[in-house]
Amino acid sequence: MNTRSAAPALREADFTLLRDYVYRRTGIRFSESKRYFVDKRVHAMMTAFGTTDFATYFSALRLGDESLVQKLVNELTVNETYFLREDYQFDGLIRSVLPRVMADRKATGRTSEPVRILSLPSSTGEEPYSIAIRLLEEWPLIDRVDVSIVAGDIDTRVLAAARAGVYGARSLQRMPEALLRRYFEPAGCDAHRIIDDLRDAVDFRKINIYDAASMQAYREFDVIFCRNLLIYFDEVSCRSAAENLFSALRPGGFVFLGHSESMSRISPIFTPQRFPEGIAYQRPMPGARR
Amino acid sequence: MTQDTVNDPTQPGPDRSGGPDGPVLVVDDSASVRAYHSSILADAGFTVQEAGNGYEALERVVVQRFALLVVDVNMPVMDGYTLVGAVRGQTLGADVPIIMISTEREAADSAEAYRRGANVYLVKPAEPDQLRLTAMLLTGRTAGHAGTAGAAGGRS
Amino acid sequence: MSPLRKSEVDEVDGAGPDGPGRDQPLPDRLARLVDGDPDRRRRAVLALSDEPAALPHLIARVGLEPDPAVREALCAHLAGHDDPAVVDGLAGLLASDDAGLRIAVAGVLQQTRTATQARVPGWLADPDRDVRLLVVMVLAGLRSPQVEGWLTDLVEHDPDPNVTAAAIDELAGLVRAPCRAALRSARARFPDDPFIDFVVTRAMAAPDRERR
Repeated sequence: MNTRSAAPALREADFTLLRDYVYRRTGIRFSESKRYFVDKRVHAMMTAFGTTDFATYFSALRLGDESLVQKLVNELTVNETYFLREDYQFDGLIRSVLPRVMADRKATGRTSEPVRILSLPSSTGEEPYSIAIRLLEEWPLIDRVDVSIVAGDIDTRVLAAARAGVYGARSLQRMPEALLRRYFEPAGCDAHRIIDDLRDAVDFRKINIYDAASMQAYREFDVIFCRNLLIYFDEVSCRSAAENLFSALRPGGFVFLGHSESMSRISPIFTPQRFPEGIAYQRPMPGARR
Repeated sequence: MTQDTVNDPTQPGPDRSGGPDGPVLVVDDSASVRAYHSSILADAGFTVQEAGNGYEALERVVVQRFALLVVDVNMPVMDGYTLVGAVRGQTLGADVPIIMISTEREAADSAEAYRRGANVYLVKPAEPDQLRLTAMLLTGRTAGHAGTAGAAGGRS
Repeated sequence: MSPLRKSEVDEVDGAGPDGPGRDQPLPDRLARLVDGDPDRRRRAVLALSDEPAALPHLIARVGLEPDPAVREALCAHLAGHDDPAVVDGLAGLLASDDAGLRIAVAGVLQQTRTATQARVPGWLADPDRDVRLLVVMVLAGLRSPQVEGWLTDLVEHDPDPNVTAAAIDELAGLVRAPCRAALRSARARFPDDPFIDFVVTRAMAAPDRERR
C-alpha cells in the first residue's frame, strides 16, 4: 500500500463532472464510497497527461482525443481474467439461455446441428474452458447435444497460451478443488494444465471483432460471450463490433456482455432480455415485434 | 414460439411488486429536464427513477415493473417512439401507462405517439399541474394517496 | 471422450446464401442494398464496408432504408468516415419527421469530427428550432474544442427556450462553472419561462462552483 501522502481529493464539482461523464459514456457508476479510488486514478491520469489543472484534463477528456477516455476506463476497471469469472452468467447460460436455444431449435427443426457458442475475446482461455467445464458439469443435455465452442482473440500469443492450457494459482483461484482434480493435471510448480479432452474441444481462432471481414466466417452462433472488451474501445469501433456480433448470431441468439457493460452505450440493435441471472442481449427473430 | 416464457409473472423475482404503487421512470437525455419532471412527480408523492437514453430505459423496463413512464422523443441511441413500441412488446410493459413529452407541436407527432402506444402526449417542458394530474390519473392515484414529498425541490 | 466437438468453421469469403462476396463486381454488390430481404441488405452494407466507391450509395441509402437494423448498420459504418460527403449527405435528414432517423443521423455526425466541425456554424443559424435541438444533441457528443464556444453562443443568443435550455444543460456538463453572464442573459431573454429559470438556477447552484 502506498504510504506517501494521499493524492489531493477532487473538488466536489470536479468529481461530479467526471462521474456524470463516465456514466453517460460507459454506464459505469461510482458511489461516494469509491471516491478515494477514483481520485487517485484521476490524479494519475492527470499527471500522465501533464497537467495539475482538472479543467484542462477534463476538457481534453471530453473534447480531445478519445484515447484519453480509453486510458481512464482502463484505470477505473479491473481487467483481470481467471476461471469462472462472473460465473452467474454461466448460470444464466445453463438455466435460462440454453433452454430458450433448445426450444428455438425444436421449433425450427435444427435439432441435428451443434449448439454453437463463441467466446470473444478468449484471452488466455479461462473463459471458454470455464464454459466447457460448466456445461460438462451441469447441463443435463450435454450427453445428447453436440456443443461447439469457438474461442477468438486478436492476439496470437494469448491464443497460443490458451491452446497450451497451463494455468497458475491466480487464474485458478475460484476453481473448486473437485473440478481442479477432474479437469486439470498438475504441470509443475503450482501450475495445472487443462486435460487433453477439453483442450481439444475448444477451437481457438484468431479473430478481430472490429473487422467485418475477419468476423464474417463466424455465423449462426447461438450464444456469444463478449465480456469486458467493448468498454475499452472508442465509440465507432464499439458500434462496428456490435454489428459484427449481430451478424455472428443466428436470429434469436444471445450476447452476454460484462457485468458493468450495457448496449445502451453502444447500439440499439439487440433486444434486452431479462433472466433471473441478469440481462442478455438477443438478436431479434425475423418479424419479432420490437 | 413464445418470447414471453422467461418473463413469466408467476416466477419469483424481486421486481414484480410494482404496479400502480411502483416507481415512475423519467426518460430524457437532458439532466435538467429529468430533474424538472422528476421534482414535479416527487412532490406529488411518486418515487422517481431516471434514464438518459431510450435504450437504457428499455433495459430498466425489462427488469422492473414501473407505475408510469415519462418519455422524451429526441434521445440518443433509441428515440422515444421506438422505445414506446419496444416497451409495448414486453410483458412487463404491455400496459404500463406512458406519457410522451416532446417539443413537437404538430398533430402528426402526437398521432405517432398514440400509434406506438403512448397514453398521453404533452408538450415539453410539461406544465407542472398538467403533468402531476395526468400522472395521478394514469396511475389511479388520488390526492390523498400522495405520501410525503420526495427530496427534490419544493415546487407546488 | 468429451461430448464437446470442435466446430467446422471454414474461413471462406462471404460468398454463399448472401450472394456476391467481396470479389464480385461492384454493381452486383450494390444491387444487394435494395434487396427485398432486410437481412440480405444488412449483410450487403457490411460487405461493402471496405469499398470506397460504395460510399455515396451508402450515404444515399440512409434516408431511404425502412428497416431500423439495416439503417443502424449504415450509420455504424458511416460514423467511421470523417468525410464532408457524409456530413453534407446526411445533415438534411436532421429535419426528418422520422425521429429514429433524425437521432441516428445525429449519432453519425457526432463521430465525423472534422467534417461536422466545418458545418456547425451554419447549422446553429438554422431557422428550424427542431433542427437546432438536434444540433445540440450532436454537440453533446462531438469532440471539438469549439463546442464550448458554440454552446455558449446558443445560451446567449438562441431565440428558442428549449434550445437555450438544452445548450445550458450540455454546457453545465462540460465545464466546472458555466459563464454566469451567459446564464443571466438567457434568463433575461426568457423572463417568464419557469423552465429556463429552473435550468439556470440549477447550473448556477451546483456545489463549489467558481465565480467567473
